[in-house]
Formats: sequence, C-alpha cells, structure tokens
Amino acid sequence: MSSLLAMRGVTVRFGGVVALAEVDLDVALGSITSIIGPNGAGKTTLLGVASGMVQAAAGAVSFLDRDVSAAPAHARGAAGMVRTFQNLEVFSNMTVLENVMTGCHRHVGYGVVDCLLRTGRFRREERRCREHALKRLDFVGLADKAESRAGDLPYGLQRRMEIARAIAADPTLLLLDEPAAGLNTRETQALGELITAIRESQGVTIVLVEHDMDLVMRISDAVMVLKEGRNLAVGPPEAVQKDPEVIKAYLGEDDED
Amino acid sequence: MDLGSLLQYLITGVTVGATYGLTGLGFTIIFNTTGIINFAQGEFVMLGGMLGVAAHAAGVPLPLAVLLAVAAATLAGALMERTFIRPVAKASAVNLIIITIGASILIRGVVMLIFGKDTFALPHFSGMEPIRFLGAAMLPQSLWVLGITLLLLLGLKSFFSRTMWGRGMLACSYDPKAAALMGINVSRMAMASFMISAAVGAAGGVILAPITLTAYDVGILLGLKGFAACILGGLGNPFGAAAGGIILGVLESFGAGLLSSAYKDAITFVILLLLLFVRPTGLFGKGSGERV
Amino acid sequence: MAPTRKNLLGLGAWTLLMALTPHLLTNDYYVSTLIIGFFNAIIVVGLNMLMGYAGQISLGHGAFYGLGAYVSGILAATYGVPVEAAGLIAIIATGLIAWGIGIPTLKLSGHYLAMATLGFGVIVSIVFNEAVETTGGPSGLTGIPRLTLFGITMESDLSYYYVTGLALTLVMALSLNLIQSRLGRALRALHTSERAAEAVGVDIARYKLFVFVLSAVFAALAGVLYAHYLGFAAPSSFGFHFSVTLLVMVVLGGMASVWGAVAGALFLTALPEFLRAFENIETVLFGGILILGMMFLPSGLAGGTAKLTRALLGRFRVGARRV
Repeated sequence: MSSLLAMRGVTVRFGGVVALAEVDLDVALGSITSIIGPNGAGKTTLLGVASGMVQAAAGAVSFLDRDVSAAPAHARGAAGMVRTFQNLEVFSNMTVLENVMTGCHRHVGYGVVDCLLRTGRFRREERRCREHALKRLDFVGLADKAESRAGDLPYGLQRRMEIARAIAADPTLLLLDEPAAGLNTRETQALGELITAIRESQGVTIVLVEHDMDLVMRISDAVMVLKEGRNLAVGPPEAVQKDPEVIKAYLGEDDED
Repeated sequence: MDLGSLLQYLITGVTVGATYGLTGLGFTIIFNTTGIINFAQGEFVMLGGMLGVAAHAAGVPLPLAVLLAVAAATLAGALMERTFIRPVAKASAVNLIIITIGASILIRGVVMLIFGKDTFALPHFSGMEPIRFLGAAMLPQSLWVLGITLLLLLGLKSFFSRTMWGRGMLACSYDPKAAALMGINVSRMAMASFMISAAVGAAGGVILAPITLTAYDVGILLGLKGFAACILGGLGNPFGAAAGGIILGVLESFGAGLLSSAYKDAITFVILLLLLFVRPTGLFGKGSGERV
Repeated sequence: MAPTRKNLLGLGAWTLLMALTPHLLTNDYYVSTLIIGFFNAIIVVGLNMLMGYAGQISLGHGAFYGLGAYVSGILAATYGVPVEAAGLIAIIATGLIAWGIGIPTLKLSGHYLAMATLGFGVIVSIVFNEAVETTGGPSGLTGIPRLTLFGITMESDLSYYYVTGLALTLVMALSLNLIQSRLGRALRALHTSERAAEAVGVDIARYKLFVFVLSAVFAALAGVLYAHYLGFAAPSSFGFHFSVTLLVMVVLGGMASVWGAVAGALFLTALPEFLRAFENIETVLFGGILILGMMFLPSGLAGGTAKLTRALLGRFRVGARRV
C-alpha cells in the first residue's frame, strides 16, 4: 500500500487569489504528518481540500487508495477521514456526551425504523455507542464532564471535547487543524501527549496543521512546509529544520512566534 | 400581442413594482442595521395609505395629508422599536421575528378597530386623465409613483453614503460591537432604521393608494411581496431590493396579461423559486465565497 | 415501541389527562376546540423537529396540511374512495411532494429558505383557490365523508376526540424516540455546525430532507383528520396566515421541545376562542399577547415552565435544608 492520503497537484483559487498552487501531500499510514508554514500559506485550505470542504480548481485526492476528489465531505467523514476545526465547531446546544456520541455517527448500526420504534437493536447499539463515547471522553480526560452542556465548557476543554468527538468516529485518518491554538504551554504539552497517545493506542494516522513549532518537531514523523500556497520542503523534522529554504521563509516572517 | 398591450403591462408592472421595491427597501434598511426581518413592514405601507385617507377625509388638503400620513407612520415605527424591540434587543432572531409578527397583528387590529373593514380610496394626486402614447395609457398617478420612488432611492443613497447617520447605520450592520466602540449609538441607529423604514414604506403605501385602493389588511400581501423583492434582489442590498420589487411587479403584470390573471401570483412565485434554486442568495446577493 | 422511562412517564400522564379532559368539560364546544388544537399540535410537533431541532425554517407548512386535507377530501368526496385509503394516499402523496420540493429548497438557508417555503405555500394556496373544478375554489370543498376506521365511523365528537388524541400521542412518542437517537443527534448537530456534522460523516442534505418530509407527513396526517372531521376544506385555512401561526406556535411553545410544541399549539388554538368574548379588540389582544409572551418568555412555554420548576424545586430544597 502506498500513502493513506495522497494529494496531487492541488490548486485552489478564491476569486482571483491563488490559495494553493499544485500542492502535493503524502501521508504514510500510521504516521503523524505535520503541515507548517507562515500565516496565509494555505495550510487550513489544504486540510479543507482533503476533507472535501473546499473545492479545488485542479488536482486529485486519494484516500485508502480510492480517488475521493469528487466525494462530498460527509462521505469522506463516513469513510474514516475525520477532522477538527481551527475555530471550534462545538455543538453547543448538546451535552458533552451527546457531542461525542454524534462522533459515533458512522458506525452506529440501526436505521430510521429502529429509531422511531426504539427496537431491541436500537437499544443495544445505543448502549454500545454511549459506552464507546464515554471511553473516548475518558481518554481525553473529560469523563467527569459528560453531562455538562458543551457550550459551558472552558475553551481548552472544548478543544479536547472536539478531539474526543473526532476519535469517537474511530477514524483511519484524523486531520487536526491548529489544535493548540489558544492553549497555554501546559495545555499544549498535554495535547502533544494526547495526539501521540491517539496514534499509539488506536493506530490512527494523523495530519496536524500547527503553528507551535515545539509541538510539531516533538511529535511529527514527517513535516511538510507550505509557503504562499506552494510546497517548500518535505521530510523528517530534523531535515526540514535545517533546510535553508525553510529557515529563510521563517526568518523572513516576523509575526511568527 | 401588439406593442401597446405589452407597453401597458410594463407600465402597470413597474408602477406596482415600485411599491414592492419600496417595501423591500424598508425590510433591507431594518435588516441591515439590526439583523431583524420585520414582518410588520407591510403594515407600515398599509398605515401610509390608511392614514392618508383618514387625514384627507378629515379635510386636510391632499399634499398635507400625504405628508401627515408618512410622518405618523414614522412615529409608529419609532414607537414600535422603542416599546417592543429595544427591551429585548438581545433576543434570538426567531423571537424577534415573532415579536414583529405580533406587532403586525396589533397594528392591523388597531386600524381595523378605528376604520373598520371597508376599502378606501385616496384621490389621485393630479387627476385621472390618462396619458396616451404608443397605444398604451398611463395614469398620471403612475408618474407620481415612479418619480417619488426614484427620489426616495436617490435620497437614501446619499443619506447612507454621505451623512454621519447613514454611515453609522451601515457600520452597525457590519459589526455592531465595533460600531459601539467607535462611539456610534447602536440603539439610536436601530430606532432610526425603524423610522426610515416606516417612512419609506408609508410613502410607498400612500402614493399607490389612489391606484389600488387600500384597507386595513392590504399590508399582509404587500409585506409578502416586499420580502420577496428583497430576497430576489439579495438580502441586504438596498438597490437589489428596489430592482427586485420592479422585476416582481413586471413579472406579475405580464403573467396576468399573457398567461392567467388567476395564477399571476403563482407564476411570480414559481419564477422566484426557480431563481433561488439557481442563485441561492438572490440576483445581487453576495456569493458564498466562504473560506473554510 | 418503548420510549425512555422519563418520556414514558410523561406520555402516560399526558394520555391520562387527555382521556379524562372531555369528562371534565361542561361544554361540548370545548371538545371540538381541543380536537382542532390536536390537529395543530400534530403539525407543530413535526415543524418543531424541523425548526427547533434541525434549525431549518419553514413558512409553508400550511400547504402540507392543506394537501393532506384536499387530496383525501377530493378522493373520498369526488371519487368515492374509502376514507382509510384516501387518507393513506393523501399522506403518502404529500410526503412525496415534500420530498420533491425539499431537494432543491433545502439547499437554501436562513431567510432564503424562509422565502422559498413561503413561496411554495403561496403557490399551493393559489391552486386550492383557482382549480375550482377540483377543489371547489374559494368557497371550499364540501361533502367530505366522516372518518371511518376499520368499518367504524367516528360519528360523535367524543370518538373523534379520542382518535385524534391517540394520533397526537403517537406522533409525540415517535418524535421523542427520534430525538434521542443517532438521527436526532445528527439533526441537532447540523443545527449548530453543518461543517462539524459533515466532518463526522453526517449527510446533512439527507437528514434535512428526512426531517422535512417527516414534518410534512405529520402535517398531512393532521390535514386528513381535519378534512374528515369538518367535512369541509377551504383554502383560507391553509394559507400563508396559517403557516405563520404555526411558526408562532413553535416558538411560543418553546423551540426544541415536543411538550412545548403541544403546549404552544393548544394555547394558541384556544386563545382566540377565549378572546372571542372581547369581540372587536380580539385581534389587538392576540397581537399584544404574542408580543408580551415573546418578550417575557423568550424560550417559550416549555422554557418558562422548566425555569419555574427549577426555581420551585430550588426553593423547596433550600427550605428542606433549613429544616
């Protein structure tokens, strides 16, 4: 098997602006692959193309060796490619547990009639889904918040809940869009451990878009650098860190931390 | 089908459409400043016509009666904002919609209580002798409608682009918090938007009243058409609303003339639906170039 | 069918109350008002699923109510189709129409969706008015036979009351079940964030369509019951005005609450009957009550009751602790 996720020649335009120009990305099965780059480099857009939420003008996306370029976002989610969002997208009107149970959506095995009539199968599956969701909440350390309203959680915990919701789907590939944004150093540290743990314990392949260099360099197997919508460099973290092009790109940027 | 009839349909359509456009404009002004869809907008139009009739019947000369009607409706707009909207300014959009629905029922009820359920007519502003050309006839009142609509449009355009108040109201629509930080009194702007909308709506109502007659319940249908006009044009775009109204009026008039007068509204709405399916944010609405 | 214990308790209490009410009422007229209230409640429970849970507005549900009434009424009155079959055909046909309309319409959102559903409602209403030969035009369709179920005609108002009450209870039970399921979660999820719902694999277009069709089917059921109760259907009962009234019932009852939907429907059906005593000022009072209701009960009757219960319980607990 080649890459789990392969993107070829991805080009995106917003009006007249070229956000991505012929970008390639390969994500090896079982890896943590990070996408870094200065602000406006097109990282989030690339994630959007992968997950089917941004329309590419050209290029192809294949996932699990199948061409998914034309597949809608929900179909990619249902196929096991699940993402989180840079600006939290929490179902604020539901409890934390219900949020995470929504994550189970793709592997709950009952239909409309089961729902309407609460058949035996419905109750069995619902119980399983609930336990599964509770396990995932426990995994991210939110078990005691299960019955809280999601909108009432503090920001850092909402981030964790979003990750719990994503891994409740038992994804093959998890796309994390700036999960450390807005977190303090200690929380970021813990997040790094959580991401590694997700890979270790559940065998999930992870793509990470992130600004926090320490975090990226610590946990990534491969790093891809984007600049102004183009591939700048790709390779293991140590190699990328030494790449003169990358150093130049980052030194030229003074609004980065 | 001869040119004369076609021209006739066009004239009728544009005249009625101008009122739809003014009503749509009223929706847009309030929506842009406060984010509220005001379901009582049609009642402002009705108030214009009914109050004009009442003032004229009381012996007030026609021009003064028209002005009085518009002024009174403006006051009603201010009153509505003050009593029903301002106390609950932070309510959710759908709650505010229900409040405006309640207000429309209330206004209609009060007018019915005072004037009864009869239909009234306002005299034409300058006689009823039709102007004939190219086989079509045009009532002088149509010229009044078109002229006043045009004047109002130009007036509003310079109000929003040139005056402090106008710019302040626009600022509220973009970002109320930022506007407040800039020292703009957001709640005063909200009241102003209700007053201007009421004035524009009432003006539309009073100038159309001689042609189409008026009654306590004409606001329902006019409100509906006005809402359709601003959706057709693209919600939030004042000139889209005006254009949408005229397109709607013309469609309706041609539909009635060429196809079926019974189904004229159905034809209009079918076209509106088809258009929305093709352009989900109206003719001149902002495209959804949203970045994920 | 086995709702959760809490819902079962609620439904049990509701059924008991529903069953006893006619025997407590002194005036038969109230029974017929309640029957109409039940029709409205059936529609509003469905509409609340669409609006309160899935967050999709509709200003055209009066049309689905009307389609149920007219299709069933025309089949039974004009073509002599047995009432049970006519009703069933009407409900299925309305569901299919909702499905066809829903596919393009639900791609719209917010005010544009409101406009499109409103437009659909207006178009249907015009057809009811103008297709005189089929529908009887503005003066209405007459001679619709009374509802017959399994060979028994529901002649008395009391029997009709129980049939309608049962139908409403069934609709409530199905809705309560649906909300606490994968489907219900998907609906509530797409209400807050369509993107996040898609990200975990929710086919949002399909779920929106599902709940739209379901709510139309509920409305059609109410329409069928209506037509075979009154024996008559007129376009004015299903127009824009009624669609707006339904919206008000949903919001005043309380968004995202099945119980609120029922409360809102019954309250707003009964209110004009009470206000009738005030003759001329009934419209003014109705408008005023709507405004005040929304200003002081922003989360509707359901939200207000929940708040009140919490406050009372809180006081009770505090009191108990003091003792």
